[in-house]
Amino acid sequence: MIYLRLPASLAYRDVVMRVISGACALASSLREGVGAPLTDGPLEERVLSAVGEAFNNVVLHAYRGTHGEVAIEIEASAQQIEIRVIDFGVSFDPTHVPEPALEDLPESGMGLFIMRRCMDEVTYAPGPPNVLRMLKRIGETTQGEGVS
Amino acid sequence: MNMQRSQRMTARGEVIRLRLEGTLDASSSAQVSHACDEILASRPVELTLDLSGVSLIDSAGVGVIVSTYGRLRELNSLMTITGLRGQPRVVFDELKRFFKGERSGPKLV
Repeated sequence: MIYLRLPASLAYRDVVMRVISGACALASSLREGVGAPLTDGPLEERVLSAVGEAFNNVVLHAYRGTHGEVAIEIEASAQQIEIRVIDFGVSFDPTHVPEPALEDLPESGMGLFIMRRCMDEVTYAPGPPNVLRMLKRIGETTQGEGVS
Repeated sequence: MNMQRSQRMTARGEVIRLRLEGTLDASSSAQVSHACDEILASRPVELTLDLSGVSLIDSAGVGVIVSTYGRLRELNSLMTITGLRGQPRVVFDELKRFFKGERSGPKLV
């Protein structure tokens, strides 16, 4: 398992993105064997999109600008990549987050929508600690099953 | 976030092109929003957002684009988005429904 623990600050977002890219490359190489490309475009792009939103949510909403830490656990295999984003900030109930009315040109509230669309499974367990679990199966084109 | 702005005058009015380069996310969205505010103040007939240099976008970045589009629409002006590739293309593909609902929505090139 890859384990990352860092301050909940947007300044560290790029570090998270780079580690996620590496994990996607690892998953791709496990699937394709030695000599596989370093990255798998669609897989990496979807996982990066979802994890970026999850990290933003922790920084901006769970900790609301106060100091805190976030832990990220990544398990990559040939079949799937699973990511858990763990924080000790304010919990939120995703089931109370309505899907944005895209026709109304929303300027916010799209983060969870992007997470749902880019991953196959998204679940949230309120804490402490709060644990957001996201799973992407490799080699499947299925879309998100939503938050439960 | 690096930004390059250019403009040309047409028979319809001023057409502005804004090329963005880097990551358009919660950290840089305020900077881009400010640039868009300045552009909107000149009431262009069309704004082309060139995202070919954007490697990563998140919902905050999308929010700036949506906000700018909404205000352009109030001016009866157009928005065109060009150069979508990689992760930003994935995000905009997932948000297609948002653009589909708009008969005169931003044109994705």
